[in-house]
Amino acid sequence: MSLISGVISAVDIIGAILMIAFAFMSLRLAMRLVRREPHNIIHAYLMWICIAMAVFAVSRSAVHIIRQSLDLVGNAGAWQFIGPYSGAVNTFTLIVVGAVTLFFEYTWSIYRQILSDKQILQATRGELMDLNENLERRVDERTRALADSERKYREVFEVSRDMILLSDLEGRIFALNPAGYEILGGAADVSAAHIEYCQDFLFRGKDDWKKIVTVIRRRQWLPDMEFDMVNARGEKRRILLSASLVPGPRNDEGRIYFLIKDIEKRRMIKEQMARADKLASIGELSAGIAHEINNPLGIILGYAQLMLREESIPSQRSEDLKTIERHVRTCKVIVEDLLNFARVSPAKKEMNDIHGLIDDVIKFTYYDSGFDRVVIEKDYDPDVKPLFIDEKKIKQVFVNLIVNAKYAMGEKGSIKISTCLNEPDKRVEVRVSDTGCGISEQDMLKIFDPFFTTKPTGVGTGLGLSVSYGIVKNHGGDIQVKSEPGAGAVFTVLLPLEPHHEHIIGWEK
Amino acid sequence: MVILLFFVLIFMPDAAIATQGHRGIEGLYVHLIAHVFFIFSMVLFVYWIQKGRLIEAAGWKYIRYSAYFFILWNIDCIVVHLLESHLYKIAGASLGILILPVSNAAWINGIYYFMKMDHFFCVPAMAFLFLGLKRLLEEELS
Repeated sequence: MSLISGVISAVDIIGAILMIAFAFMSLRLAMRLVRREPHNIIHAYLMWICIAMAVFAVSRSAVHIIRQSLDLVGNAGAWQFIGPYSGAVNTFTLIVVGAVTLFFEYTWSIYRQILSDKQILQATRGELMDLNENLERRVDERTRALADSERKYREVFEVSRDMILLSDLEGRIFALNPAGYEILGGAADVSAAHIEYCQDFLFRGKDDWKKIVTVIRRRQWLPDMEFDMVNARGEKRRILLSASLVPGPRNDEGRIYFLIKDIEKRRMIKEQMARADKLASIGELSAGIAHEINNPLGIILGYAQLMLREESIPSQRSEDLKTIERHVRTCKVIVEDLLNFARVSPAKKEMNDIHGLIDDVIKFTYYDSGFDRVVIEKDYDPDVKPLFIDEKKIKQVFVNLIVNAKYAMGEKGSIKISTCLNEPDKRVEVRVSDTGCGISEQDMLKIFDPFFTTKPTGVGTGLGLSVSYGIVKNHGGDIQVKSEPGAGAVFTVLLPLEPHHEHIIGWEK
Repeated sequence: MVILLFFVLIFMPDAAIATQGHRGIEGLYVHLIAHVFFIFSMVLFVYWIQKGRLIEAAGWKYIRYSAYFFILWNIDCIVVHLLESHLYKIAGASLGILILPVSNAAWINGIYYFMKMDHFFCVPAMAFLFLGLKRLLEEELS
């Protein structure tokens, strides 16, 4: 073998070895790429290319090495046998490598599609994440706004001094605010009275609820209207009611929102003012009449007494004169009562212990016949200090109240007299309550009217309460009465703590 | 009628040509076609690499170089095979498929001698493939 031939053989063998080495090193790298990212189709494709290249390199280069080896060992004839197989395998591997390479475009398009899909998925995921985060933030904001709104309206519901009531069209109560419970007599009483429907305290008459619901359905609302209701304690109260019909949660049934204002106090004040107006008118009229009658009565009484003095022996004439004198005196008492009612006669006020005054009245009346089976209870407030009052006239007030209480009870019963210092209003309250027959609603409006009486003719003049009313008013006070037929009556005399500058003539309205 | 025609055709004695015989230089033709096919696939490969802008990555750039060298290698191989055929024919062998208009020129022997060393093309081609994959792996790792 020449030197040149040897060099060529060496180059051939080295080249073949390098070819195989690079092919398998490439295959190793491709496999590392695949291991790193098993789902990357391009890496898988490169691995297949490298496998084909490795087979190709082996088929081509190994054969070179074998051929050179055969030449070296002097067995070149063997190549005649191996050569065709080598060529065939080499041709086959060429085709395989070429064929695998042709799949690149298809593989690449799949890879691009996967990448595109992946990007779309990531973008979508990002959008979803963003939406999710925003959604949470939005939900948080909406929830906060809803909570604020709920709190605001809850406060309106809770703090309102008027009753807010929600019911269905059947009258079943869904919601009632604290003021509602208060107006109805307190939560405990409402629960005890089993108030579950509006009809339990309102529109209690037969078909009243149906009528009111018909009106609300037709007009969708109800303007301010006055009604009477009976609370859980059975007390009758005047209310101002308005209502609105709103759709129910499922829009398949209506709900009624009621706004109810307790106007009982307002009604009572209006009644008291009306009564005061009436009594003021009567007082002015009575004062005028009393003045006009008082003088002639004085003259008649004076002349009757002069004529009676001239009668030394009893005779029919003297008896007639006595009868005149007696009836004139009765008239004088009535006139004096009328003047007291009209507050024309001035009061002689000085500091008096109200408790001692009441005790004197109790002693005075207790010795009267008929009080044997009547129990008089006293409950004095020790904080009550002496008041600037006309002892005689205030005694007359309590005598009237106790006698009236006794009359209302009949032979047997209990009278309770209590005092109470009302510091905020700067007055003393004296309550005279009895267990008598009570006062009807009809009579309640007239009890302070002069000459109104429920007693038989000749038993009372009907001036007791009106005179008492006038005396108390003359002291800057007031008389209040609470009563129901059959449940006794409570008269409350309110007297001011501080001295009152009275108006001798004229009435306060 | 059809059956009769079938039997007439089957039993008429003549040369059977249905299965083609393979003799002579068919193997060389197949081999050359394989090289052409390899070139075709590599050209397409380069085209796709450029079209897909893969050459922006260094790894694919090396792989493209690899394809170029494989193309050159295939051309080299085709030329060598044709020259071999020419030289065989001149030598009186029967496998020649190409007869150049020159006869036994010394420069043909020189070209043939040089181009027989195809390692100068295929080894760099495989080396660039290795380098390309190496860079791709490095890029993945980074």
